[in-house]
Amino acid sequence: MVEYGLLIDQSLCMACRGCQVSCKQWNERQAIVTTNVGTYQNPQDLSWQTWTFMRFSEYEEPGGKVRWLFRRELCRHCENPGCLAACPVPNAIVRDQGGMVIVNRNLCGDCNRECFYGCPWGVPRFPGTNNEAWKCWMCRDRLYEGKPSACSSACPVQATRTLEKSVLLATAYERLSIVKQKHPRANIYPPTGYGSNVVWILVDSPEHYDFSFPTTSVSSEGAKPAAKGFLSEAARPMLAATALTAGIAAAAKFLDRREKVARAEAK
Amino acid sequence: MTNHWVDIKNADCIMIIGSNAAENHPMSFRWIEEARKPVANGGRNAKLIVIDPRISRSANQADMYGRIRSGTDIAFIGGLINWALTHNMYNADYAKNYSNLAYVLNGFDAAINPGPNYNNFTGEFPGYNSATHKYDGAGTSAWTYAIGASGPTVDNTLANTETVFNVLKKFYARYTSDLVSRITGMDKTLFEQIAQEYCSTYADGKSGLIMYAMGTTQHTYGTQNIRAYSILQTLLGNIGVAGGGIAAMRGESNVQGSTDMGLLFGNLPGYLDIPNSTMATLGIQTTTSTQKLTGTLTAGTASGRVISGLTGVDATQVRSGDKIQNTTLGGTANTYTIEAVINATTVRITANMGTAWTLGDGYAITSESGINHLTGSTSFLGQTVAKGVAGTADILNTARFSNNWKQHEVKYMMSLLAAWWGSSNSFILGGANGDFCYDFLPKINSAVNYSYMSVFKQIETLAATPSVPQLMMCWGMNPAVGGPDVIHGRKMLANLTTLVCVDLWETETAAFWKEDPANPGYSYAASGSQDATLTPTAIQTTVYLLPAKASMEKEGSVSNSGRWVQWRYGAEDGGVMVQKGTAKSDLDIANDLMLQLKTNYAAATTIAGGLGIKEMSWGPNTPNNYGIQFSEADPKAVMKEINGYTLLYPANIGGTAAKGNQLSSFISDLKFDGTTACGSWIHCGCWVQTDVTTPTGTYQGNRAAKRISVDNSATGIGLYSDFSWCWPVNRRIIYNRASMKPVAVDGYVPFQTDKWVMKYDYVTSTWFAGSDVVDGGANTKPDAYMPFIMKPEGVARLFGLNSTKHVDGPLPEHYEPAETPLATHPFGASHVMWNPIVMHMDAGPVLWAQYNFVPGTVANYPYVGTTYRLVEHWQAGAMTRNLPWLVELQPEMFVEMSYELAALLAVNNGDHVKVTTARNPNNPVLAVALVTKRIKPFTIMGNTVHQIGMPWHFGYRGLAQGTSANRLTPNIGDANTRIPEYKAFLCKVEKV
Ligand code: SF4
Ligand code: SF4
Ligand code: SF4
Repeated sequence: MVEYGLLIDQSLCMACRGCQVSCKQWNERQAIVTTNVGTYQNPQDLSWQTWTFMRFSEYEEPGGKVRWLFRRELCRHCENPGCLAACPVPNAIVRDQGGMVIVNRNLCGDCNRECFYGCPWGVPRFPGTNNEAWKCWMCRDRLYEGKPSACSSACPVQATRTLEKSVLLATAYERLSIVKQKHPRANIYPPTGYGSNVVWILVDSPEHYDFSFPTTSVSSEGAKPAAKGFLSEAARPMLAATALTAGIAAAAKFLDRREKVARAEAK
Repeated sequence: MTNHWVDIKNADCIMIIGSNAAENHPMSFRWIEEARKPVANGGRNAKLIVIDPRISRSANQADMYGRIRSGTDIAFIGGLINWALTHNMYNADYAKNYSNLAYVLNGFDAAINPGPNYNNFTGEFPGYNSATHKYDGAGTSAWTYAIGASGPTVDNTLANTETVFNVLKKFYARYTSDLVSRITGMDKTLFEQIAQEYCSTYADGKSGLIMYAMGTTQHTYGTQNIRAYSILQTLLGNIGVAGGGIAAMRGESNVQGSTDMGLLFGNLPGYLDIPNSTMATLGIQTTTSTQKLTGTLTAGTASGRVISGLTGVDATQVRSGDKIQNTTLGGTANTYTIEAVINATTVRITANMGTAWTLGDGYAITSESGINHLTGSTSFLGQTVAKGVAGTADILNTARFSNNWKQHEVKYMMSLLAAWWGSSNSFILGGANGDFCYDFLPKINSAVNYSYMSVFKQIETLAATPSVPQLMMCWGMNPAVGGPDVIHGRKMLANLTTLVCVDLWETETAAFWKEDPANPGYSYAASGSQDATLTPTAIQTTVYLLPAKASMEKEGSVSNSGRWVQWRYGAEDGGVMVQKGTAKSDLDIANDLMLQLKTNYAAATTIAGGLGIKEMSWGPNTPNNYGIQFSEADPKAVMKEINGYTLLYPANIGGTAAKGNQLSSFISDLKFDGTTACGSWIHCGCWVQTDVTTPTGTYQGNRAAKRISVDNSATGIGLYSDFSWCWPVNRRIIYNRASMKPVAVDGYVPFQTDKWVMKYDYVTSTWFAGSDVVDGGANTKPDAYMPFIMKPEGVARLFGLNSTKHVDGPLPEHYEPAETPLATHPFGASHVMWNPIVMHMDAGPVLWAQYNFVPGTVANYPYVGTTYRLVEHWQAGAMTRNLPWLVELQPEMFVEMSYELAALLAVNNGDHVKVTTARNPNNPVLAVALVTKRIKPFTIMGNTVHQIGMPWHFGYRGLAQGTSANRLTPNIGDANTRIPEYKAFLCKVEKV
C-alpha cells in the first residue's frame, strides 16, 4: 500500500460542502441538529458524527476587498500523531501504512479520552455514552480499493484531491505557484516540515481563517471538561510525538462495503 | 445553452450575471476553473467576472466582482454595449455578416426621436398604444426592415442613419459609465474595468461567455435582460464559437428536458407554439376537390381484392382509406375502399369485388374524407409557408439565405399529430377538414393567459361560481412555498374542489389545509388575525397525495442545460429495481391516468365529449395497428416515439419503410403528409433504427445511452459527440456556422484558429475531421447557409423586429422593478418608470391590477429585497428539507444584510428579525439575521439604498421549517413569460 494524503485547495473550493455531506454518507454518520447562528457554517464543530466540516470566515482586505474564506476542518493524519502518542492502549490508534491515522474501536474506549487532549487540534471525538474515539480515517476502505476518499470524489472542482504522499507536497507547491498569481498571499498550510498528510492551500494568511479550537464541545458530548489550555496554532504541531506504524486488519464491515461499491461501480 | 457545459473551458472571459453558479450549478465551476488555469497549465487564463448584489459563493471566486442593485441588469449591459460600440470593441466582421447590424430600418430612427440623439426617449417605443398598453399602434411598422426589390436593404458602409448600427449606437449612448454607476450602484472605475475586460473578447480568436439563470429572468423585463445579453454577445462575435454563447443554466437537472417537451404554457413539444382558439384549422390544403384520379383501365382486369391496370397512381396522393369506383359500372356496389397502394398501376381493396372490372372501364379515386391529401399549402397557423420547399414564401429569404428551420413547422406539427393520433382511424382518413386530428388538439383561449399567476387569479375568479368544480394537479410542484405572494396562493388552494399532489413528500401544498401552529401566517387574513375560512375544518378541498418515485428510482432521460439528452437507469439493489412503498414513476402515474381516461371516454363521439382521448394512440384500446402500440409505461417506448418513426402505410403503398422504423433526422425524415410520427422534432435522431454501441454494451438505437468519453474535436474543445446525444442533430454548439469568417480569396476560415469548431478544406471540398455537426449537412459548403437558422434572414437580430410573439419593444431599455426605491426614472421624469407593457403610471397605479398587485412604497418599505437559492437546498425544499444531512447544513430561514443596515436596525448577527412587504404587513417572514461584510449599501442616484437577500426554500413542513420568503414576493412579472418578479421588491426589516 502506498502512502496517501489529501490536498485541499481552498482557492478552488467554493464551499459547496459536497465533501461534508459525502463524508457523512460514506461513513454512515448521522446528521446532528443545528441552528443558524448567523453564519453558513454548520455544524459549528467536529463531533463523533461530524468528521469534517467547512469553516466560514469573512475578511476585508486593507483595500476594502471582501473575501469569504473557507477552510475545511478534519483530521490531519499527522506523521507523528499526538493522539497516538497520548493513547494508553497499544494499537487503539495506529498510523496505517497508507498514511491514515486510525482508531481501532475494538481496542479503544477504556481511557479518559487522552487522544483528544493529545491531538493539538482536539480532533478525536466521543459519543455521549462511552469513551470510544471517532474521527476521519481518510476513507481507508476506499483508498485500499484504489479509490479517492469520499470527500475527494464528491468535489466538483477537485479542490480536495487524494494524492500519493510522495507527490503531495510537490503538487501543492506547483498549485501554489498558480494560485499566487491571483492571490499573492496564498500559502501552504501547515508549513512544510510539520508532517501532516493533509495539506491546505490557503488564499490568505492563516490568521484570517477560522482556526478556532474546541473548548466546550467535548464536555457537551459528555466528557470531562477540557482541563488543559490549548496551545497557539503555531506551537501545536511540535507536540506531535513519535508514532508507531502499524497495519490494521480490515474489519468485516469494510469487506461488505467493498462488495457494495464493486457492484455499484461495475455498472 | 447555445453551447454546453464542457465548452465553458474554452472561454477567455466568463461573466456570471443573474446566477449563482457555484451554489446552483456547482459542476459549472469544474469547467470555469479549467478555463481559468494559466495557459502553461492547459487553460486559457480566463477571467471570471461575477455581477451580483452580494458576494455569493460564486462572486467570491471572481477575478472581478461587480456589485449591482437588484433589477439593473439592462443598465449594466447597456453600458457594456455602449462601451463596445464607442471603443470600437465589437467584431465588425462577425456583426456585419451574421447580424442585422447593417440592415436598414423602416424609419425607426426617425420615429423614435428625430434629432442627434435619443435623450428625449420616453421609454415607450414607436407604436405604443396608451389605451391598450401594448405595442399595437401603427408606429410599430418602423420596427421592420426597409424592403427593396430584392429583399431587406443592407448598407454595409453603415452610413445610413437607419441602419441598426446607428440606431444601436444612439440608443445605448445614453448608457454612460456615469449613469450606469448611478443606476446600478457599481463603482464607475470598476464598471469601466469590467467593460474593458469583457469587451476585449470581441477580437478574433477570443470568446466570452455569459452564464445566467433566474436572477436574469425573474423581473418585469426578464426577457429583455436576456435580449441585452444576446445583443452584447452578437456584437462581440461570441455566439456559435467555442467558449462563447449564452448559457441559460436551467433550474434542475431536467428542467431543460421539461421545457423541451412542452412544459411551458405556450409550447408544444419542441417549442412549437401551442395553437390558440383563433387557429381553427391547420390550413394546409388548397383544393376542396375530392377527386384524386380518374382514368380508364388499360390492361388486365380486376378480380378478388386487387385492381390492376390503373394509370399514374401516386403513392403520396392515393392512400389507404381512399375510395375507388368503377364509373362505367357505377353505383356504390362498385365502389371499394383502398386498403393499400401496391404500385403505380395496382391497388388492393378491402372487400372482394362482386363484379369483375374489364378493360376500358372508367374509374375514379376519391378521398374518403372528402379532401385531397396535402396537395399544397398556403398557410400554417397563420404563417405563410411553402410546404417542404425552401422558403420562397418569405421575402426575407430573397436577400440572404437561411435554412430557416421554422418554415418546416408544418412537418413538425403533422408528425406530432401522427405521434399522438396516428393510429386512429380519424388520422388515417385525414381527419376533419383534412387536418389530421388537429381538431383533437386542445387549443388555448387566445384571450386568456395560462401562466402561473394567471391560473391563481382564475381560481379566485372561478371561486365565485362554486358550481364549477375546480381540480388542480401539482405534479412535483409546491406552490404554497414556490409561488409569489404565497399567503394569497394558499388562500386560492382552498377554493379548489380537488387538489392532487404528486410528490415524494407531503409538501406544504399537499398539507395546505393542515394548520401548523408554529407557522400560522398562512391562514391569517391581511389584518394578521386568523382567517376563519382557512381553518382545517373550514377548508372543503379534497386533497390526494400520490407518492412519486425519485429520479434515481426510475429509468428515463434527463436533458442538461447543454441540451445533452442522457439516458439513466433506475437504481437497483441486488438486480431488482429499488421500490419504496407504493411510489410510482411519473410515467406510470400518467399512464394510469390516461388509460383510465380512455376507459371513461370509450364511447365518445364528439371532440367536446372526449373523442380526442378515445382516439389517442395510447394503450391497448387504439383502434388499429398503424402506430406503435403503447400499452405499458415503458420509458423506452416513449423515447422512441419522441424520436419518431414511420407509420405503416408507406411500405404498403410502395415505399420502402416498414411500420415503426425509427427516423434518424428531422432534416431528412420528417414528412408533412402524415406518414411520419415524431413526438418532438428537435429530438429526432435520439433513438435511431441501428444499434448503438457503448462501452457498457450494445443497445437498441438509443443514442442518449452512449457513453464514449472521447473528445472527437480536432482542437481539444471537448465536443464529446459520442457521449449521450444532444438536440438538434447532435450539434454541440448551435449556430456554429457563425464560427467561420468570410475572408477574400481564402474563403471561410475559423475566427478562432486554436479552438475552431469547424473548418472547411477547399481542396478536397470536405469539412475537416473533428468538426462539430455542420448545420445543413456535411455536404454543404461554408457559405451554403447563413448561421442563424431559425430566422428567415439567417442573421441574429440585434434589433428585434415587430413580432406577435414578443410584446416588448425592439431594444432592451432600463426600467425600474415594479417596486423601486426611486421616485423618478434615472433617465428623467419624462421617462416611464416601468416596463410600459407591465405597469404604467397612466393607468392609475398599475396596469396589472388583474393580479391584485399593489406596489409597496419606499416610504413604508425602504429596503430592496431579493430572494435566491442555496446549494444546500433545492427549490421549494421538499426534496432537501427532509434530508437530515442537508438540514444540518442550512437548518433555518435567514436574511443577509450589511453591517451598516444592521447598525441602523440595532440588529446583531444571529438576532431574529421580521421582514414585511406590501403583501404581508401583518404576516412577517421570521428569520435569523446574518450580518455580513459581503453586502454593502449602494449609492443609487446619489442616495443610500440598502439591500437584503434571503433564500426562498423554506416552508412549514419537513425537518427544516421556516417562513417562506415568498410571502414577500410580488405577484407581478415579466411582460412575455409572466415569470414573477421574485428578484427585486421593497421590504421592511425590524428586530423582533
Ligand atoms: S466539495 Fe470541494 S468545493 Fe465543495 S466544499 Fe468540499 S472542497 Fe470545497
Ligand atoms: S494528532 Fe490530531 S490531527 Fe494528528 S492524526 Fe491525531 S487526531 Fe489527527
Ligand atoms: S477522508 Fe473520508 S473520513 Fe476523512 S473527511 Fe474525507 S470523507 Fe470524511
